[in-house]
Amino acid sequence: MSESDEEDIAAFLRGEERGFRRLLERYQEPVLGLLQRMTRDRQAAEDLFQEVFLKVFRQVAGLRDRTRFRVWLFRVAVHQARRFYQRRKELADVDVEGEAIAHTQDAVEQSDLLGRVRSAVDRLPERQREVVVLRAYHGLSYEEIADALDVTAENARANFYQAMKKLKRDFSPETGELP
Amino acid sequence: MSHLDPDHDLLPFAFGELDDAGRERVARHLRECADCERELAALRALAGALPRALEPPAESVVAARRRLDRRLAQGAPAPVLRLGERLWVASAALAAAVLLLMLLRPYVDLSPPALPASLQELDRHAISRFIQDRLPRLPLVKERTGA
Repeated sequence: MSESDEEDIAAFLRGEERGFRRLLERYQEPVLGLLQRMTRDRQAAEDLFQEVFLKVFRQVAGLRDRTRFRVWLFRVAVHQARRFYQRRKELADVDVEGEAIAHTQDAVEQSDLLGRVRSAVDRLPERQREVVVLRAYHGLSYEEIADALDVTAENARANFYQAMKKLKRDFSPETGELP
Repeated sequence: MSHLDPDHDLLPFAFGELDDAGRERVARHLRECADCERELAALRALAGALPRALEPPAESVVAARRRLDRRLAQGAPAPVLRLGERLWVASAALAAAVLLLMLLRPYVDLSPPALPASLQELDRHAISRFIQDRLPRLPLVKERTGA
């Protein structure tokens, strides 16, 4: 994956716009998925998506190690999402960690199993949510997560395990929520 | 019978993070412990559901992409080159200019234009006298202060 990222970055910097298009095609869903789970707000995530990829467009030339493009991209997305939390905290003074974010998901979404898993992820504390998305959805290693989030690999692992235990409690076999 | 520890056994096992010896030890326990096997099954089911649950809705991807394409079409900012690349581009431009100058040299007269005959006759002393005669005479500092 890194090899084609490198090739596409090189093509883009040679002036071939299709290099950037290929990067966009490859990462549009992962980035939007990350932003939606981090912000718990679909509209905000779509707004931040613009900012992330415009920033990538402007700044990818400055990326020293192009084999780590994926981690850098997620780092940019995480940074944008954190700025969003901060602005929302300042503007609305809401508890972005807790149950107050019920407005983010459609009622229909809540009714299906995957929607409930999403909601359970949304109730996790910010750091655990970030780690779960990067590990379980994007398959990043703990070292890559550490790099993206500015934490240690051990901290990333501990947060992931904490999050998985909480999620499993919500969906234990006894409750019949998940097979 | 004691059960597997979630942090040290079950979760690392479920996510493929144990070494060979660890995997064998956990697998041996799971063959004999139905409780731990159920715990593992629940974890695996959850891990399997997470990627699907975390995918963004397709219509949201389309909407976000359409907006981005529109912004890029309106004129995206130029990529910012890092210092090394900027220096490289500047050096390449300079080298190209020098090369162009060398190639054009046989065809273009690069010597400074000749002075008109009337100016050629003036030396620098004559020019200096000419200027001094036209400048207003400023009083010296001593004269102004009355010293």
